[in-house]
Amino acid sequence: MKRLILEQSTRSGSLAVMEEGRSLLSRAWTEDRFHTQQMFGVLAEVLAVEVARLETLDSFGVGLGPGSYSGMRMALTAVRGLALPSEREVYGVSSAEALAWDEFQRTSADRVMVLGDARRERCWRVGYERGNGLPVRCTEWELVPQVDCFSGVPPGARWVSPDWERLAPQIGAAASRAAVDWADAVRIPTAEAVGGLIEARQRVGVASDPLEPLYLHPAVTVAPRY
Amino acid sequence: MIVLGIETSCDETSAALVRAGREVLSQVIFSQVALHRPYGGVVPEIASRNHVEKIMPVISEARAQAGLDWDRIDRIAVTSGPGLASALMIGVAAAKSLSLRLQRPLVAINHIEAHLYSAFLDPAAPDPAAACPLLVLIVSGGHTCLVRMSKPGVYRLIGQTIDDAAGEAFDKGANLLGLGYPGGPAIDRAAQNGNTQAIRFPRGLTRRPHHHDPTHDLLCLSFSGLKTSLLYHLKDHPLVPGDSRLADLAASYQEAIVDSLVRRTDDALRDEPYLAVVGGVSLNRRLREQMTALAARRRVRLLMAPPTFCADNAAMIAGLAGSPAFAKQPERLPMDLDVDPSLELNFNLSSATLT
Repeated sequence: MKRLILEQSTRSGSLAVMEEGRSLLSRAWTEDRFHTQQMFGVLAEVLAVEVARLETLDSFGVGLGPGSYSGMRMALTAVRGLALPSEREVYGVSSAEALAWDEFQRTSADRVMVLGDARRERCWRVGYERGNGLPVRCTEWELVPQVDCFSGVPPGARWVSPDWERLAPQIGAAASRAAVDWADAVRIPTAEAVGGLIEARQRVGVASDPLEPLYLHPAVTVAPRY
Repeated sequence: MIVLGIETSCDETSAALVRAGREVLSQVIFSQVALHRPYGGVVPEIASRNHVEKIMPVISEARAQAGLDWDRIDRIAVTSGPGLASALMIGVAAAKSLSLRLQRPLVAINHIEAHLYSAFLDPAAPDPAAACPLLVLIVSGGHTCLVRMSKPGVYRLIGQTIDDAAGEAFDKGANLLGLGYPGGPAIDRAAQNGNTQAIRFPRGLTRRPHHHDPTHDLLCLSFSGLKTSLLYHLKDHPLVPGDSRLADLAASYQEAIVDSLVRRTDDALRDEPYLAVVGGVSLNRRLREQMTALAARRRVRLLMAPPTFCADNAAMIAGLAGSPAFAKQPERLPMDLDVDPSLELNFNLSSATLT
């Protein structure tokens, strides 16, 4: 089964065409503010390549975040639009789970904590344990104050984050106290990792996550001023 | 030519298929009004989240209702602005992906121009070229302006609000009167048996130098003073539950908005054979009544979009993109298309007749 995957939950967007867990083609780009431009430009270029022609694609995959709202929405809307006319399958997974899955492939860690910037001086975090080929979520999705982002987690977990650049000034001291080695903790979810996780999940019959971006905040509302 | 139109500029998710610019084959609108009502106005983040959720089912349903295969679609048209950035980008993303998937050209549409075009979705309306020169009052929740169209696609700004749009004035007034959101229909209902002359609210009418043409003044409207006047009136004369003065207050407040719009339109009319009133506020019954009277008095033919095409809708997007008179060309590099939340109409002074 050949699948096109988009991941854009961070400023570093990526796209991959994969078949049976093997990457046939991949592209990456970095966005500054809006995500619409580069992603669609890359998409148009890739779909013109023989190996990625639309009629040869069986399904689509997408990283659902958490992360950049605009990025997640663009990526999800794009794959759903590509899949709609021929009713192709769209399979979505959490980008944090993809990060954890990738970490379990690369290292011997038994537990991975994924940490991200939730803005407003808070972080989101979630933990996974090494399972039988798939990450097993072992914590709830949590929103925690930045100063407490490492507390309450048993030692020994491997911490990774796609948002280290933004978080470093605020949580660097806390990281030192928790003995978290940030030099080795910066990870960006990639389309290939998302594709690899989808492949692994489908192999054991796990269904797609609900096709909606992972919002950890309710919508921010401000009362109208009259 | 069959065009798939997509509209997500504010709180309506809509898709439509329109043939040759005039024949609406299908239209689906998912309105988020109920979701925004508790907040008294549109919350951009809620709007965007719901567009993401609804956009594909809405497009799919529009295609199914038209009973056409996907390959019968010749173009994809989408609102690129003005509007809420986070809402616009969902429609643009959907349009781009379908453009790529179907290998069809993508056309970017200006939301205000599409409202202007909505008057021609009435099967009884003349051909757009035959209706020119045409004076158009565009009146909605986000926009209030008077535009003269000398020929299709060539516009001159005649007047506009200098603060709130008329729709905003209705929303704010309804909020102060405790009538809820959206304010336009709420005030329209409450005012039904009220006395329009019970309270004399101010009419915000002024002139300002035209920013495109220093030799002519803009015929301006202003609604912020009206809202403040209502606020102070209610401070001096608070309403109590079941207050019989509510209908008179609503009717008088509505009359001030309608009267301003009608007077400015009257000022702007020259020798145009047609007058169009478009946008969501054009559904207001008192405005329709008064505009009909104005048209009769000034001997112009009044064009108003059918009610389905007054509020934000995708038929006007697809219609404008497929209209031979307006000849919207597909974008050369559709993947470069970005949203423009502050997009304005392209006012072409050189082609306009100055009066």
